[in-house]
Amino acid sequence: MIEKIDLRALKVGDTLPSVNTGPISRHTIGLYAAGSADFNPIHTDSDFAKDKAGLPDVIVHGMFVMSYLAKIATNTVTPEAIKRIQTQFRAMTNVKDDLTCKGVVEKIEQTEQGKIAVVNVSASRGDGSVVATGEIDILLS
Amino acid sequence: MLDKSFINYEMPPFETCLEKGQMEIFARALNEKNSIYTDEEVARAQGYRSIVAMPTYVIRLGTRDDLIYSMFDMLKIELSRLLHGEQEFKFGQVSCAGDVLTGKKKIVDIFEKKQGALSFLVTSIEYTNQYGAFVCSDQCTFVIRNS
Repeated sequence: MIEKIDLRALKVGDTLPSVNTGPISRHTIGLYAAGSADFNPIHTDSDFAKDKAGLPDVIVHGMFVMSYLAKIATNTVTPEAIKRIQTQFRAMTNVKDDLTCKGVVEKIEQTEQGKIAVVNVSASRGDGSVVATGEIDILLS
Repeated sequence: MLDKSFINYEMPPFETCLEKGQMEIFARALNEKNSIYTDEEVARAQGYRSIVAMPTYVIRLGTRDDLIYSMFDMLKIELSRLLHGEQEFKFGQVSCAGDVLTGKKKIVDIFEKKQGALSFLVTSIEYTNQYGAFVCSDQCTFVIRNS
């Protein structure tokens, strides 16, 4: 289930195992709201989303998407190796969107923390449209 | 338009405990399969104090009503106009269930784009744990639609 990778062998251009959200249900949005204590009704109340925010429906928490991007790292390396996660939210994620989260090693650099792999990550829908991009720094040694 | 006089505004330090039950719901919402994040026995067997906090779980510690909604009220931000634009976490020591963190939150920046159609609010929270070690910084950029 957990695909461990050999960090010593990691090199620029390598792809980390991708992660899929599956079609995101209202139930999952509700669970995420409870787990993250983010109760903004724009995520959980379709009446609020329509009448107050002018949206067609509730939207998925941006942090849910970022958390899935982080799974690229949590699925493959130890918690100690995850040094930074950064995400830009580029589009709203909607109910039933099915996102694929991908990570590619962009560069490997020596920092004061040690040798770091900077992984470019992105979350996209089935049609290729991107909802979030970012970077994860993984400590190699 | 947001009141720029709030740049560098610091909120009083707050203490927060990593609650195991809520961490479990968080991991379940994300369908997490790495059991150090979900199973106490597995986590302990690998040398952790308890289940490990998933990296983005830290966001939960800063979303308490008194930390976030009171700030939006102070800045007169309507929730219906608010979007999460960007987020960054930097990590020090790993956090586990039961840890007690101290957070210090401040407003880093406020600025406008598109002739004031969009306002940006940047906040940061620095967390240390019960041993005094740095565990995480949480920098958040909100976008407010003014028109």
